[in-house]
Amino acid sequence: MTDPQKPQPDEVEDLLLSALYHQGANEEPSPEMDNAIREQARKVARRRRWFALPRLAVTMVLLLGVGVALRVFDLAPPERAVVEFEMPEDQEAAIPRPAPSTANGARSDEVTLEQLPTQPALQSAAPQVRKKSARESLEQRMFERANRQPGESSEPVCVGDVPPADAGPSEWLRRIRDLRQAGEQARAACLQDLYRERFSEADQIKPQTIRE
Amino acid sequence: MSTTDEQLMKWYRDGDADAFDRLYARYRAPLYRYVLRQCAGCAEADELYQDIWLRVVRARRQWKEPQPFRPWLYRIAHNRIVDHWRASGAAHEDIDQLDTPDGSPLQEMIAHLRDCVARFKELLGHLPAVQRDAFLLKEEGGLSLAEIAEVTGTERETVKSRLRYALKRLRQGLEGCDD
Repeated sequence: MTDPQKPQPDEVEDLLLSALYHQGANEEPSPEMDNAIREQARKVARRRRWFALPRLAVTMVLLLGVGVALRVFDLAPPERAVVEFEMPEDQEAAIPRPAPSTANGARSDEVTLEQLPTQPALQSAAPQVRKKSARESLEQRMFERANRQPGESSEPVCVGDVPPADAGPSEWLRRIRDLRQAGEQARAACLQDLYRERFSEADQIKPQTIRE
Repeated sequence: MSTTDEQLMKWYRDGDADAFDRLYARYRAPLYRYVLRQCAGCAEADELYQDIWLRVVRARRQWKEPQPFRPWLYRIAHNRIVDHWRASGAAHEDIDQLDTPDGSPLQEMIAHLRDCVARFKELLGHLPAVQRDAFLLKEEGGLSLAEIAEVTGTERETVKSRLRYALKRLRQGLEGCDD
């Protein structure tokens, strides 16, 4: 059996060849060539440093400029554009409503055909559920506003202008328009904010301006 | 602890010319011999050598840490040599075309060794280019089989085979030099 630690004859010969090769491997580049290469590398490195300095300076100046501009002009983000619109009465009924859950909590695929509510019943039940929770939320916010101490908030009070709970978007929009026409811009704006809170994006009426 | 090649290359890439000097000092001789042996007797050896270093300088930003510097350097050199072979059509020299020295006995040991070295160089110059390249990347570049494979764009087993053939041919041509 061969000893794995002991070099094989071929390996020994390879080592001898390598040694023989290095016996004669003593050529070197001339000093002139060394200098030429080093000089070229030095030139490139210097150029890089000179390029880097102005770049850094320009970056610093730009950052400083932006910072100063923000402070001087106190740049604030633009106010969100307000799109005001009105929905005709007949369109209100066509607003899609979320599907109701069944009364006995059964899965929808377990409900028999007879158990299914009729289409008009669905349409009337869905808004009630949705509107109830929205109304509770709105009333809570109104209560909070009404109970604020004087000077605590500068927001104009428009609680008295809020339409009844079952009023549709068109009623809200009519009141907003009336307030505007009456010159009550602050109350109109307040009511418009409540309108947005009251109705989700999907429920809001699509473009038809309510501007005077 | 001495600074690594990679650290020096990073410093040079960032504009430190002294780092290049130190790096150059480490590789000038072996790289020069690598080029010289690849085109033994060719007048362009110096030009090729200089061109390789200029390519290193120009490509300094392409070198990315922690890429090992040595294989990267020899890949540049190898590619430049291959370009040279293609341009000169000198890639297919073969040892079979060489008149093998008769190996007559020499009286003095030093003279004998000198003769062997000279024969070695001659044999090396007549090896097929790919075998010579693999041999020089190993001996001058100090690269492993895997690194040579990476530099030359071949498989490790191919490199191993090339080296085996190169050494076999050198051994055959250097009969009498092992005593």
